Amino acid sequence: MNEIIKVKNLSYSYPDGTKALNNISLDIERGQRIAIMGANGSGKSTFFLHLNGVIDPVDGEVIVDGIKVGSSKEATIETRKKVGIIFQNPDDQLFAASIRQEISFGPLNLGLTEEETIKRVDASIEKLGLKEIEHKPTHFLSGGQKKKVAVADIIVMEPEIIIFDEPAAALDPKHIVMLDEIIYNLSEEGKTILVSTHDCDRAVRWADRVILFNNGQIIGDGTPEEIFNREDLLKQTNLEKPAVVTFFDSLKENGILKDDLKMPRTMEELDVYIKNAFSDRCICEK
Amino acid sequence: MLIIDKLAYASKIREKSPGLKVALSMSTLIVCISTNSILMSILILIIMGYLTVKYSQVSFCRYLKFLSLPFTFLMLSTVAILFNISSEPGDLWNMSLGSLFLSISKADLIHTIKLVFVALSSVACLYFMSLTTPMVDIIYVMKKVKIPKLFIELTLLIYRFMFILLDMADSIGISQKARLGNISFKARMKSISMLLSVILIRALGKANNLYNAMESRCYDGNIRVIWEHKNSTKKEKIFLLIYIMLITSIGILIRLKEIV
Repeated sequence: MNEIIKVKNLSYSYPDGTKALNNISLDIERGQRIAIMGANGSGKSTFFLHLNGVIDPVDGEVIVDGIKVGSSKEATIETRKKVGIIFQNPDDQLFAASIRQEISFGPLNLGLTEEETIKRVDASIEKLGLKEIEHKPTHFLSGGQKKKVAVADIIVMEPEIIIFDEPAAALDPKHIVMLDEIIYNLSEEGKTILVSTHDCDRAVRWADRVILFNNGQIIGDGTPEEIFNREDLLKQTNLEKPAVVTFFDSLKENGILKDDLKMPRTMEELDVYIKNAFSDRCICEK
Repeated sequence: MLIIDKLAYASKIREKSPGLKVALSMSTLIVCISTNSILMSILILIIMGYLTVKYSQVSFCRYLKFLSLPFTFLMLSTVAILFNISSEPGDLWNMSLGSLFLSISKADLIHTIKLVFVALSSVACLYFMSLTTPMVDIIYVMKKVKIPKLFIELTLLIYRFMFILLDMADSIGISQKARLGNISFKARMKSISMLLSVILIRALGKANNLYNAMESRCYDGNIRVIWEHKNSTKKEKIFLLIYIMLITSIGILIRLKEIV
């Protein structure tokens, strides 16, 4: 029993009657790295807002670490302590003009003392490499820097579950790699990570579980190996098979790689397969 | 507006205690308005001009340009005070309009000049503050002098959102231009009206998103953040005190001697 999030038959409709979530049930284990994938408007963001009680579950229930979300005011506060969301657009999240003030908002809301807060703010600034810009005003920052501050905003509260809502949106490749590192490090610390993304190539690298959303429903849930080989599901959610998997499949089809090999997660892994295959051949020919 | 913000962050005395800078500028402002004399205003213009040019990143020429902005505005608005329409002719200049006179009296002229100088030197005081003290620091001073929390939180949010909305307006404006939205006067008017309405709608959306984001960080209606600032040194405090005493006594002297 190591489930940290339990969602049971969750449904949600917008005030205009559009169904955003339709009977969703899933369990998430502590320490998992989950990629939530699906077309725009498939209900990912709405689902996230349910997980920390910004939207109270009306139809169905969400249980976070034993607490029923939305059952009482205290429960909502407890959930928000446990679940941190990094929103897609940092401009929607950063409200203070000073970075240090911005980061201090969460911990002070948790009831920490000023000294403790300053200590934590310093630590998260250090962790994300924001030292150089900590005295700049928010509106002078670049998109990537704002994103980092948005991440610092959340990790300073030390939640157990961290949700990234489309973290790579509007970031340049360098910052995307940096963000992947941040996600990896947080996961190493034992945090449970949920990331919504459209980028299969990156998701296949780090995810240990992939959940596909479509029209407010979960249509696929499994390991990357299981999900990224289901072309029908990927098509339904407007996703493309990761390049590394496509290439791997083609190599197998053409008899260059053996059929029983495990799906590679990165190009480097695939490279090793190919090298091994060729060195095997050379030995045979000799 | 935005240039001033940038300059404030680049100021040479950015790290100095914000309370000190605000106190310096505000005390001068109060003396300036309560003395209400041309001589005092000129003195203050010189002091504030000197301090601003020395401690901010603004060159003397640029400072004059900054001052010319309110100056033009002042000139236009004081015209109404300068001219008088009455049945009595004035003692300086007259133009008859049938049975009435459009006139300038000596008292009116002095009054107008005084007004221009007092207003201009008050602006100089505020320029010193806004060119050396970033808004975040000014908000800190507001908090220190116990301005109600509501105002402080509003200022905090307005200041941040001003930039977001301006950015938004900027990019919408560019995309309108790219589609010939400013090809004629009519098109320009239409573009502007659409821009304004779309910004209102988006601002509402932004507010909603921000509220969600704050909620998820345990927001309970009170914005709590840390306030870290350099304190002023003893030397600075004494210097400020002497300055205030000096300028106040000059002010009192001018009032007593009734110098214009």
